[in-house]
Order: sequence, then structure tokens, then C-alpha cells
Amino acid sequence: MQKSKTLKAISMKQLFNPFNKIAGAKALIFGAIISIFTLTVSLYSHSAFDGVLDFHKAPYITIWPYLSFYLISWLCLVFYFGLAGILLTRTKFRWLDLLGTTLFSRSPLLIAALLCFAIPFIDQQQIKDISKIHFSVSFFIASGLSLLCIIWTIALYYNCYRVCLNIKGTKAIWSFILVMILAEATSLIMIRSLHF
Amino acid sequence: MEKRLPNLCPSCNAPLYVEVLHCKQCHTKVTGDYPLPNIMLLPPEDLKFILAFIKTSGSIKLMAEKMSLSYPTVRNILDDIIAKIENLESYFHEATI
Repeated sequence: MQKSKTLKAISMKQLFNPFNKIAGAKALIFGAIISIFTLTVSLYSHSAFDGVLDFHKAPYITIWPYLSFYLISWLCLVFYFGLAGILLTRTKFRWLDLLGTTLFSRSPLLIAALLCFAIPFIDQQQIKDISKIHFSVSFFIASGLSLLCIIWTIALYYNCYRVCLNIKGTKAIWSFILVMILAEATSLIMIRSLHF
Repeated sequence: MEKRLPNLCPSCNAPLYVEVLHCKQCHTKVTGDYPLPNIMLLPPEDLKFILAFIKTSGSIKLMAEKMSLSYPTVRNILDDIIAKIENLESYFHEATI
């Protein structure tokens, strides 16, 4: 009984912080494989990860918008994590760890992309008269679960930030919030400047 | 039972000094006031880590494989030990001034 409880606690910890065990090239390879699956599903479920923390249903029919949004969001995060590493810590972090762990942190987005099959696309015209739209139960369940996936992704981002840069305590929390705001703003500006 | 070197004062937590050294062969005793090397003031788990680190020729990558941990986690352990040694150095530096 005690053993199963301990195992459960360990697996829960691994779910939110696998970076004590996995980082660097290994995380990059696993992250890349999961990202390929995520982008393939995105193309069919029309789920665009258009920002570090954003997830929307999109009308695009080619892979390029989904791929470019995904890459911009990821690289913005890596850039600001690295900048925080240079400015805030004395630790000799590796860019490979940042690239790998941040990409691996985006793994829950595969579930969000799958859930997007249950979310309909709503265009600007429909939004003007939102009362006319019929939202199914599956829409609310899928939306709620995708929100949980985004929260899970943020928890993974925080843990990879903490582990890769060796930042602890309140410094880790406030600097992470600042880094996320900057990465989100930069990714949004870059994504909005693209025209598909 | 493995004996642990008592390196900190149980009363005030300050580093302890060696007053008596004893030869097991001829039972000669040397008394004095010898400070322990900074490295000996670290907790046993840190000493174990340092020993293993030296045995891997100072390779974080090999240490990570040996400990089944990721590279940044091992580097963080090393960073923490470095910080502890630096704190001890500054403590003794201030104590001598």
C-alpha cells in the first residue's frame, strides 16, 4: 500500500518534472518526434499554437502556418530562457538543454491538438452573433481539457526553466513570469506579422 | 554502522577544529589547533558526489549516466557544492580578519 503510494507520487512528479531524468539531446529527439505527431494532428484538426501560451482553431489547409507558429513560439521561449540564464544565473547552462527541454515541454499540446477535433471553427461573422451558435457538450469538455493541457505545458515550462538554469525560490517565480510575458508578446508580434 | 565525522558544533553549528591526533600504531598523541579542510566540512552525500566526480575524471555527462539523472540536474548539484565551498571560504576568511 505504502509502496504503491510512493510509486504514484514519483510518477506524478515525473509527469510535471521529468527534467531531473531527461534533458539535452534525448529531450530534443523525443520532443521532435512528439512535435511531428502534434503538427500532423494540427493539420487535420486545424489547431494552431499561435503563441507561447496560445491555442486556437484555425482555417488553414496547409502545414506551413501550423509549423511556423509552432517554431516561432518554441524559439521565442528558448531565446528568453537563454537570456534569463545569461543575465540572472552564474550557472553554465547549455543551449542544447534549453532547446530539448522546452520542445519536450510542449508534448501535452499533442492532446490539445487531438481535442481540437471536437471544437468547431468560429469565424468573425459568427462571433458577432454568438447567441446563434449551438455549442455541444463535447465542445465544453474539449475546451476544458485543452485548457488543462495548456496548464500542464506551463508547469513543464517552469520546471525546465528551473532545472536548466538552476534558479530557485521567489527569483525563479518572478523571473519566469517576466520571461513568459516577454516570450508571449514577442511570439504574438512575430506571428501577427506573417500572412497566410 | 558508518561513523560520520562530526564537523559542525552541535551547539552553535560553527565548524569544529581538530585538537588531538592519535597514532593507532604507537599511540602517540599530537595536540594542537588544526582546522579541517573546507571540503571535509561538507555533508557526507556531497563528499560522496565529489569522490564519484573525480573518479569520472570530472565528466558531468558520465556522472549523469552513473546517477541516472539528467545533465543539468548533476550540474546543479555541482553548482550547489561550489556555492557551499565558497560560503565556507568566505566564512573562514572573515573569521581570520
